[in-house]
Amino acid sequence: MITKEVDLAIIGAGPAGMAAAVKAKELGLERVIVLERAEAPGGLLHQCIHNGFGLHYFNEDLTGPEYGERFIKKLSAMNIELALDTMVTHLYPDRSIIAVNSEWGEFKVLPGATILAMGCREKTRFQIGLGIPGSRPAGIFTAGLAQRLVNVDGYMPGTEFVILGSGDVGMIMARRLCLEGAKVNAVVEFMPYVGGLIRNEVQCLHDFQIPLLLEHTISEIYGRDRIEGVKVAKVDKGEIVEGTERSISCDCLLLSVGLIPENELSIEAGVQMCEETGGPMVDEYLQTSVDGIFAAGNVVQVHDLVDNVTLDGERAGEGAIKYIDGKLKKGPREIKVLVGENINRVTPQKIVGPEEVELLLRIRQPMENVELAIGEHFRKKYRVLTPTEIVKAVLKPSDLAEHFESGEIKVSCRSRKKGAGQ
Amino acid sequence: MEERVTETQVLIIGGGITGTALVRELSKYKVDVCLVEKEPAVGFGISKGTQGVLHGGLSLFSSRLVKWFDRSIDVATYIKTPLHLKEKFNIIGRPIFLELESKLNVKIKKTGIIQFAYDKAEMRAFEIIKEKAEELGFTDIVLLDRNQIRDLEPGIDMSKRVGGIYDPNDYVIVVPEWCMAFADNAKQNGAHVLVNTEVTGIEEKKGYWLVKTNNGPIKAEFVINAAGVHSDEIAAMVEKIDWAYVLFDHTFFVLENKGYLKHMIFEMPVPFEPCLMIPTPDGNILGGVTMYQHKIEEKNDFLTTRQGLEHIIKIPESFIPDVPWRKAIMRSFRAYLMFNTRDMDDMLLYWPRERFLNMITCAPGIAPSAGLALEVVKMLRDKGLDLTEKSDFNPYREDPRGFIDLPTEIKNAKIEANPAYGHIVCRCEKGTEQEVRNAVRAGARTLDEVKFRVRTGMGRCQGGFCTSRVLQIMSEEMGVSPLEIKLKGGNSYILKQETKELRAKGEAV
Repeated sequence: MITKEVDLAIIGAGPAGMAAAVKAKELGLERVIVLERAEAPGGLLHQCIHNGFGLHYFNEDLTGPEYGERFIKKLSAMNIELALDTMVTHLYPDRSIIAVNSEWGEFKVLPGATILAMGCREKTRFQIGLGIPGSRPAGIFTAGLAQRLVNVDGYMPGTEFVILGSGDVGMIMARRLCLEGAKVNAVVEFMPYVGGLIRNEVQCLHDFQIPLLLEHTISEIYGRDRIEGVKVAKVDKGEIVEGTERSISCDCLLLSVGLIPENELSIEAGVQMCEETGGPMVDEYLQTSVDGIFAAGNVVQVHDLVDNVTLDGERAGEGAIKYIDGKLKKGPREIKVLVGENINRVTPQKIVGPEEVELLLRIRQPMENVELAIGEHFRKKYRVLTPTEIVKAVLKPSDLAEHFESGEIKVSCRSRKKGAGQ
Repeated sequence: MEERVTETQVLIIGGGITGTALVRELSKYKVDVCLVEKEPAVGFGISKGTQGVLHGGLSLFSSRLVKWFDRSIDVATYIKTPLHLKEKFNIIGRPIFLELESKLNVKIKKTGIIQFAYDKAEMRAFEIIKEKAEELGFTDIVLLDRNQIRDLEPGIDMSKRVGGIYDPNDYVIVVPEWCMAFADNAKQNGAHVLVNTEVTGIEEKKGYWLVKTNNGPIKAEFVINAAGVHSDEIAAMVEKIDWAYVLFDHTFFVLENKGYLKHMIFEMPVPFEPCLMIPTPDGNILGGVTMYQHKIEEKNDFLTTRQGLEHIIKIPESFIPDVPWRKAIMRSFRAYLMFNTRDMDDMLLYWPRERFLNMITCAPGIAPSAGLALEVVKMLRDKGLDLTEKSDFNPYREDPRGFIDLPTEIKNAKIEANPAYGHIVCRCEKGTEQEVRNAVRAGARTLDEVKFRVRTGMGRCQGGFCTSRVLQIMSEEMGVSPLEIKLKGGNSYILKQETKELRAKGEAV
């Protein structure tokens, strides 16, 4: 078996993995290898042919492939070793890796540090609550698979669609299918607000006059061989309202009902997982509970913008290099970041160093006139916050100092009385 | 392209576990044998919706205990009644499966089975079962107290359960995989297996049967009806039948098994609902209930219902409350258990006409299939069919998959000889490009059959990532456009048209 000794191994060449590799190389790391299961680097950016990428990171409006291309070019310019069509099959607590490809067969990688950048996967019809009941015909796809079929493979999975869930991929696919001449009969959303970005609601649904059914769900799928339609029902406080069912015909159902970080390898390596994010517990350097294993991007938590994933990747790259050089700074004690009132999740889950730390968090439900409170000192007011967008909060060393004693810092979000404290 | 057969000595109708076990058995002899299956693959009828348990001594008689709750008859008397046909064939058939595992290269998982009791009466019933099973040579069965159960399965909630019984020798298979293995091996040995071939009528001619199908008529000396839940329709083509099938709702979840469960576990709480959780050979858990209160009226009704799903999720939650089961759901499906009204306790095996045999199977029917195959060979011989053994029968089926489980040296030798083995297309189950190609070469034409042969689409992403790649490889291997590929039978095409076709047609909104 071939064994490759490297300084840094990165699992996944999507936006997080590519950014981590570039950053590590820029900071002087010699032997960096990126292991990618697909035939090309870039992850899902290839199939995201719409624009809206890079507004923050590049200050430009790019398509997915354009955004990816910038990093792919850097990878090759910087001579970063990229193993494509390469599946990582095992990751061990000593951060060593077993992988398979056609060229090297089954091989081993022994890295100084490993970065997990496997991204996430889509929930299926069986994973929404107890699953959508009914028949199990052809014609049901996750939105991301449909996107790949239409944009990369060149096939339409249907002509008349219903889309369940208003995640970003779902809304973007609704518009895409309209542009291809298909009908989108409805986008059905369980919650009272869309699951993706507001700009996608406007540009993808409203601009194309696609009916959006908020507080609705699909209560049954029918059609024996190929889907023929769905039953849609109103939802109140999370329960189907009896007697509100109606049928909507379609020859294809797309699901955009949430993403799950892909962490089978992390779990095998013994990485401690976080209930709220579905990803590993990380510190501000994005190091997991296992020494020398870092994580970045959607494997840690599902992000809203690729720009943020890139930043995450860079941070993990930096963290890994510090780890290898033995320069990770440690504070007097670890601080646990606690999820408080109205907060859905926060990363990092713990703070180990004395430096400035950026927290990424999501709130539970849309709120107006709120104050974000982190620990004793950090306060910030917002006019509107939605759960679909990640909120960033930078904590200065002075915000942290006294929390090293208690070992905890709590993040919460409270509504403010009108006019108070302005 | 499809193979045609116009004449055969023995025609088997139905490619479920019963028909495929039989066609393989008959392929050992110098006799023309042909199996017809209406679905696009063998094992795609009710065989796909079974638990796949090869019943050992305990589970064999636990099936009887089900009747105890049903009929409030004296349990000791009922357990001690003579063996049913299905039990007899089960006892013969089970070791055959175990022996064929390595020859046919298909998986069996030894799970053992633990059954729980809620009171002393149930524990006493277990004692009777143990005694009866021991008489038949199942000698490893033991009664367990609470603590012994906790040692075996630490997660089980033993607050209300008082004890149990344990048989270490229960096994589980994935039934469609075995149907495919049986059929593949039969084909290797000269048998014909025709899929997408539905019997539409049967005429008795002088000295032979004329079986009409959608792919033309087949002349057959002997006809064997192994059509599973459709065997009543086939039987009715040659006789007026006085029995019908009774179907009971059998709804299941497939759950991720992150070390939650090692053994098959079973219990029958009142009201009368046998609950089962099985660690499957695939590394998942199959958890479900037979709902005897819920009869299924329509054979083609496989619809899950909200009420049904809400009901059965309580099973794993009741057995092992500490696991977040709702987050472990990978898939759900509904099938049914079938029994016939002539004998609710047993299968039927009879000749309604000369040279026409009815194999009217019932639950449990998996292990019995291999025993039945031997019996049918004997019955055919008794009816005068000349069955001489082939000297060159090959009992071995090549391993069409399982690449990922091979030792490194063998993997690397295979990759060197054929780089397509090094290309893993399925991230969840680690199926390779070459295995998908092998599956198509073995006859798979639908995405579902590839799924059962390579496991692509079986894992946690349920095909979200691999479908596009698998379609591409299948299309190359089959020499057709991906638009021609179906999920399963009928009109289940996966893709509709090429991108831009709709626009070109001017149908844009």
